[in-house]
Amino acid sequence: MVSDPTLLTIREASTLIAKRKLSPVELTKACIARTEALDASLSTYVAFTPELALEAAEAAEVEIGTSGPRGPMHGIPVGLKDIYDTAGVATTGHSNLLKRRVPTEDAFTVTKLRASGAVITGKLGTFEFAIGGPSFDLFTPPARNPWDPARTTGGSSSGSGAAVAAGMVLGATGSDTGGSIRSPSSLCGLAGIKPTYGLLSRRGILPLSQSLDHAGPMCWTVEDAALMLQAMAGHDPLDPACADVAVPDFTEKLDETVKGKTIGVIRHFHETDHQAAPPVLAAIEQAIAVYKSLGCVIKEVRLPPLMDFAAVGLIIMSSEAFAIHQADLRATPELYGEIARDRISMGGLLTGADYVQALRRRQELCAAVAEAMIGVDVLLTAGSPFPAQAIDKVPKWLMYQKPSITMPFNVTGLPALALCAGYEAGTGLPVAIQLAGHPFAETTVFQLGHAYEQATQWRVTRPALLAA
Amino acid sequence: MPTPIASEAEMSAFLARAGFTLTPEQVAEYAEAYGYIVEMSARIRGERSYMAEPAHIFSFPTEESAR
Repeated sequence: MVSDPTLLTIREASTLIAKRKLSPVELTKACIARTEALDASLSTYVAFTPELALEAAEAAEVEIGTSGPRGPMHGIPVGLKDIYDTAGVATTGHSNLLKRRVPTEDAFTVTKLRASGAVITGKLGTFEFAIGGPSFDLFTPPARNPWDPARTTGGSSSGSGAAVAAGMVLGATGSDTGGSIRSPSSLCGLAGIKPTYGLLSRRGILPLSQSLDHAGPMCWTVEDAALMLQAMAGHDPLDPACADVAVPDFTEKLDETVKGKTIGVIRHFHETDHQAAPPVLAAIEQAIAVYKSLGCVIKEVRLPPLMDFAAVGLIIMSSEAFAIHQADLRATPELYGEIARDRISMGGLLTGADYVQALRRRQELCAAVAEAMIGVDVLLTAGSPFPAQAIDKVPKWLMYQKPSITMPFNVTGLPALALCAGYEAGTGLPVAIQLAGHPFAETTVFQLGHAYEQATQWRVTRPALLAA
Repeated sequence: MPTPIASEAEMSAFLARAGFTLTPEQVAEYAEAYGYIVEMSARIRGERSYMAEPAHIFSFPTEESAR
């Protein structure tokens, strides 16, 4: 009997399930109980489906009992950001516009997760259409941070960040157009990866910006993120942007030495371009010291200004988002929350020439980053420049005022992992680093992230409200 | 601070083309945010030749993919 299965990692839970020492039903019931205890104060779900989860858990238990587990995700409770289509269960984008939309098919990645045996627990809150939030004028309130419910989770995968940090699920899906997996992973103390553009199918996921949107997992540890990504990855011929590449074993290098790996630190990103808060800067220096102690080579890398990446990303994102929403914004603007409506509407103020210039600059930035990464295994900077802010004090136009430290890897399409790098003294809020790798080199990114986690103690600490 | 917009007429033209019907308060707020967009747009508008084409956003070489 496991004392509190909701605090297990996916790896730990799957090992116990395989040995018949933990039942998927027991694990799922514990996650449901945790959700029922905390969801009223954290507002993580927009559609919680415990009956469906228990059905899936019971089916997993029978199958594992007769023929063993399909893999490490079999019987593991996971939540879905409410932009992933689910057959028969509403997928709304957390918007009144789509409040009654019930898809008839699962998203490709949801199909993959179900095939892995994962137990889907429901649909998690999001910034509206993955851009507007935290918003208080939607049909359910915004998710709150389990480390301090007065703070934001970051976004847009807000419910996913809160649910994993609170032990309501062992993993959750997110999406990332400018940092929407890595921001909540950073602020909620998780490991979240935005994989290489094209590694995961976008089909069946509500789009925000076609050329910047990425799907990905958010989990407690780097190893768990690798396991969940494994379950989500695979070529989808019906998504024209999905790369037809062999999917490697993302865990194969986790226990290999990182001695000799070269880490390029982009100091100007977090020291001057968007100066990070002191606890974040301190955490980065500590992480560098950890990697040095592991035998890594540290070098400083200089990229184009962060604001160039932010400008390109925002112009492309706003233009593509407006193209998607234009008709509905004109016809029924009242069905959008204020923040999503206003942010998306900015795309309507751009010209075609602005968009084309952004595409041209994007090419130049991709080339500059590729050149700077020659001889470098991963880049390192902050996961978020600051810990979680008060939930009611997030400026609507923050993304325009301060350059996003996550957007460079949406613009370039490179895989980028945010992982917990400590806690702010006094508040106990998580701070995070970000590692970015070469295209389709997720195994190396995971290897270096896992090595850092193994060399530190940050994964032992859970939000205080779980103890209560 | 964002760059002020050129004129109310310019803003009105943008809003009309986008098809928005906004309150005066919303117009004022969009005008402020538009200043940030103007700055960003100016920032990335480099001098490029006729041959600078944006056809390929990503070009991951085979050897890079195999890393």
